Amino acid sequence: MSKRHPYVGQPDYQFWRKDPGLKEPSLFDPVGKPAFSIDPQDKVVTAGSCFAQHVARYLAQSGFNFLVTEQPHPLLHGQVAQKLNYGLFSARYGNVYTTRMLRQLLERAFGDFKPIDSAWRREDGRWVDPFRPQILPGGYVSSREVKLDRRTHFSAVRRAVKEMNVFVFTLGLTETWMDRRDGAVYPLAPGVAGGVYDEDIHTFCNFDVEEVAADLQWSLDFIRSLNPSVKFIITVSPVPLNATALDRHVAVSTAYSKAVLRIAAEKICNANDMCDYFPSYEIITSPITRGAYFEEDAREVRAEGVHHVMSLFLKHYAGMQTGAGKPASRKKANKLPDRMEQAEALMQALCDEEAIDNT
Amino acid sequence: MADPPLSEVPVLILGESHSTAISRAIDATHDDSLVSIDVRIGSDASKINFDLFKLYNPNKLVLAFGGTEHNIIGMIEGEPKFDFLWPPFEDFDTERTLVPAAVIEEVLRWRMQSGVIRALRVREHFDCPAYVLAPPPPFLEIDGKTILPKAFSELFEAGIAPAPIRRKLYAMQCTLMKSIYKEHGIAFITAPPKTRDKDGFLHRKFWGRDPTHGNQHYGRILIQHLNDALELDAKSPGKKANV
Repeated sequence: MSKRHPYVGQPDYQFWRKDPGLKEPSLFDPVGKPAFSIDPQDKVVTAGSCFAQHVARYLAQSGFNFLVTEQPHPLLHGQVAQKLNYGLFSARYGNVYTTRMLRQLLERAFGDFKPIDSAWRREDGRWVDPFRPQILPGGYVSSREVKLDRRTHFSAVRRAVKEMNVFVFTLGLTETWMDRRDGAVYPLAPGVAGGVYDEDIHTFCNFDVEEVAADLQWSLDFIRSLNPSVKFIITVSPVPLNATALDRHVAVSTAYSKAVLRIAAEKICNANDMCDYFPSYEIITSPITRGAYFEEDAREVRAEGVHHVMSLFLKHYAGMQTGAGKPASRKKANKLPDRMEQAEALMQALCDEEAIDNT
Repeated sequence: MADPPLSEVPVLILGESHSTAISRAIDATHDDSLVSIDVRIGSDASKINFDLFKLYNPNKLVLAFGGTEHNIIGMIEGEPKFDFLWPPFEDFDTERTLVPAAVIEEVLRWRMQSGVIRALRVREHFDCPAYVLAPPPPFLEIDGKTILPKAFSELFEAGIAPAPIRRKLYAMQCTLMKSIYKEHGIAFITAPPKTRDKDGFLHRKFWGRDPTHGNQHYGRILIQHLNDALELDAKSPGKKANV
């Protein structure tokens, strides 16, 4: 006998009204059944937007084998290393906001792409790497130093790609700035943290679903060509755009960007084996959590939100029970428990986007 | 009971180990225009004996705190062996690991902070113009007469870092000192040019058994250099040769 209608007997999580998160947001769990698990010895590499840094820190603190192939020289004292962004990324690539950036990072690291512009001068006379302009806050003393350090960096990227067992990539943006001459894309517009903006050379791009998906697919294929058994986890950053280059409200651009990234992630995860979508975007932005995971600026993600995301990550991929964060009310938000204060201090993520302002 | 009268001196030099060379030179020359005091309590560099200088009222104060940080970081070879770029020096050993200069700056700044704090604590006691003295330039190479400080003896097997790298570390320390002390209104006085060879290293005759500190001869040249620099600074502030 056929069912009265197709929804009969389907699990509760397919029905909005039956989600336990409606009564207790900390119970909200939109993660499905993962295609694989992560063992403690698996080497995990992360990259992506600034939200990826939260993922990296949590993994490292939770006993995962967070692979860091670009380590500080032993000269560096722990606090100094932290201040200089060591250990924040598997290799010191900084934030990789777009899938085009990921693709070009791989191409550059493996010698398949040599951008025309290779070093930008800052106003203070120091230099930056255009592809990771805020990785070294003090800047480089010369363009030669930028190039020499990039050699070390690329070697670390190659090692990470070849050694990792799991790659977690967080999609962050669709908007980017490109060099018209060779198509090189930058995490920040020239002139924001170095370099000179030139309308004849630099152009704005806002990638669509096809472009984002194509670059991501190319990147995954490239990685698997070198490391066939690697598993992928794709996430979308819940952090809204800090600024849009388009003449429209930043909230509208944010909606476009997140929609494109979310669809591209879906397409890629459906098309690839051992490639999961992890719903960090949904956990933070869903109406079920009622916006409580955003800071007062309605953009940065609160420590409880990161904790909720990562506790579900640990639960589903490593069988670890850490308890989801309880979204606090706005009033309570100002007084965090010690654990959260510590977590917040640890999670002061570098975010290149913060450098963009209209002044 | 009334406080004892303050002793007026043209130049008061307060510091730690690097002030010793000056003290020895003053003793040898009987120059009473300067007083140099090692303010440490014993060999404890973290404590200052304020009683040693509380009765002085100098026209000018010269500070010589810290100064060995560049040697702590780079005199003995580390693992992996590193090199860095520091203009105007062009040298870089490609066989070594590059550590970006900004990273070394942070490490050096972190190492220097305790000496800076001690210097500023001393400076607070005086209203007169204040200056900070560069440490002696780096040595070119050690020889049979050299005795390394105890702190380094266990590490000596790793070897001494190449002179060009040590020269860059010294130059970086001087740049940082100039910048840090300038924020506190304290002018920087370079090491005497006469004590350096054509490549910027300390002439062998200006250090004895210990390559990180100048000897009495160095102290004599330094006093002359200091007097010239302070005199010039008094005549034309803002156009300070060697300051």
